[in-house]
Amino acid sequence: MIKPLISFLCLFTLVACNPIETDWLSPLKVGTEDVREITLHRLSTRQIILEGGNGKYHANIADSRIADIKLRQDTLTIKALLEGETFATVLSHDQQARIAVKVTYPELSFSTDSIRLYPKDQSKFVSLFGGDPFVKIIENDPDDILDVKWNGNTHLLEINAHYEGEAEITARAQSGDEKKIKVLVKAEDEPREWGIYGTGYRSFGQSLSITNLMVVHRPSVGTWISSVANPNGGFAFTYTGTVLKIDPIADPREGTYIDLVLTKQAGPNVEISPGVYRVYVEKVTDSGVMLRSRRHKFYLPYDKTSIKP
Amino acid sequence: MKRNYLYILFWVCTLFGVSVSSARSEILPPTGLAAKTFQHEIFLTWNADEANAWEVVVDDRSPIRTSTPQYTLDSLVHNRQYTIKVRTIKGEDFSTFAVLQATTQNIQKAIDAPDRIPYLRTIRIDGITPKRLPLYFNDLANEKACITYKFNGHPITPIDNHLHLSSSAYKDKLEINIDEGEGRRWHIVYLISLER
Repeated sequence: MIKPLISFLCLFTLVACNPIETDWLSPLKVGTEDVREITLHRLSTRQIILEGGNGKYHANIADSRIADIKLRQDTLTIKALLEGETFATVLSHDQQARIAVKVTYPELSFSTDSIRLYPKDQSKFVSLFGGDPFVKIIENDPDDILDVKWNGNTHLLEINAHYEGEAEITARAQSGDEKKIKVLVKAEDEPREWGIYGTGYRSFGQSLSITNLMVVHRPSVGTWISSVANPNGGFAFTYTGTVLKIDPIADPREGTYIDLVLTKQAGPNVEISPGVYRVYVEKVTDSGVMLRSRRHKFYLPYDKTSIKP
Repeated sequence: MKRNYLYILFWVCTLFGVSVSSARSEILPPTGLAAKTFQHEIFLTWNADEANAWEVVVDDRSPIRTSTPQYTLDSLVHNRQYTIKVRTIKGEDFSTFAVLQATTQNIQKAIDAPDRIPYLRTIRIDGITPKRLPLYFNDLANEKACITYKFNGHPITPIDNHLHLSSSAYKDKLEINIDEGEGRRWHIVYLISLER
């Protein structure tokens, strides 16, 4: 009686110790795609379902300061704690998987990707999320229209607009990651009459750089703006009239830059000085062209040379 | 008897002649005739002298009757001498002419000067404009130029060489298009305030 029992036990032992037995286990996989590297932002968490092996798993992390690892049945949870790199090991029976864990700073992002401001309006605040402690704020403000203050503690960007125009603010992390925000500064209205206007006002109603009491357009010769009702200037009881002449503008095209030549013909100086202004062609309509320089907006008549009468 | 008739006829003719000549001699030509000249207008004044009708004659133009002792001749050619005659009218009778010669002013800039700009001298320099606006230009080389007007965006036609303007706005837009021919064109925009 004891003999068959011993034979059975021996056979069982042989079967149990047979190394071929593990081939029946499917390969250990970390997630369906068997990830071997995980990148996480600080304080973010990722859960992965383990597959294969014998269905029983053990896991540990090399540097628990960088990430915390937890296993609940087949679900592996990795929580990023601190920026750095480490690795996690998952064991199932005699199989193991090594997963590189990379903890990075959170991705940069602004609370909005574009804002619109009025000149001389109240400051606007934009939140910047993520990034490392060495985020740099770079202003692309060719017309010098903005005043930007960055508070790294509150992660708030304070933007103050002085003049009309367009600018771009870039937040750049040390890693090279960057995010941009477009800033459009525009008054609430547009000039309705030909003239030269300052761009540092919320409305163009009272922003004339020279009173446009008389505007004269002579095709191919130019445009005159006179602050009195006489194209040659003159004394108007309490003030002396100024006359500015603008060289002809021919066939302006929206979105391009042109040079505007301004000369003083008579009278004292006004808010805008004579000279050559590099201006951006904002809008072209039948009634005039809207041009913008760093501090001024010009709404002027122009010559349509390409359109024959 | 025949001699008596001749005598009576002589006296009748004499009396008639005296009465006609005395009627003419009672109507005196206007005194103090003076002219203020502009580029396209001549402003005439004379003494009223208890009369209330006069006739103004300029060169070969039709006579113009006026009931005030002043008159503005307009649409004249710049830098040209005009002979102006004014006489007093009383009923069917009239005086002899008071005669004056006046020359309109020349335009300030050469006709082809690129910076010559015709403008309304009747708009005050600070933009205050009479509601009945005389269309008297300075630096307009061709008084027969094609000129059109718009007031606050609407075309407006002159009456007796005046624009009749009406608005309650603080500022009004008066646009003038001038085409003198030969490529000499201007588009003028005034932002005016009408006299209250």
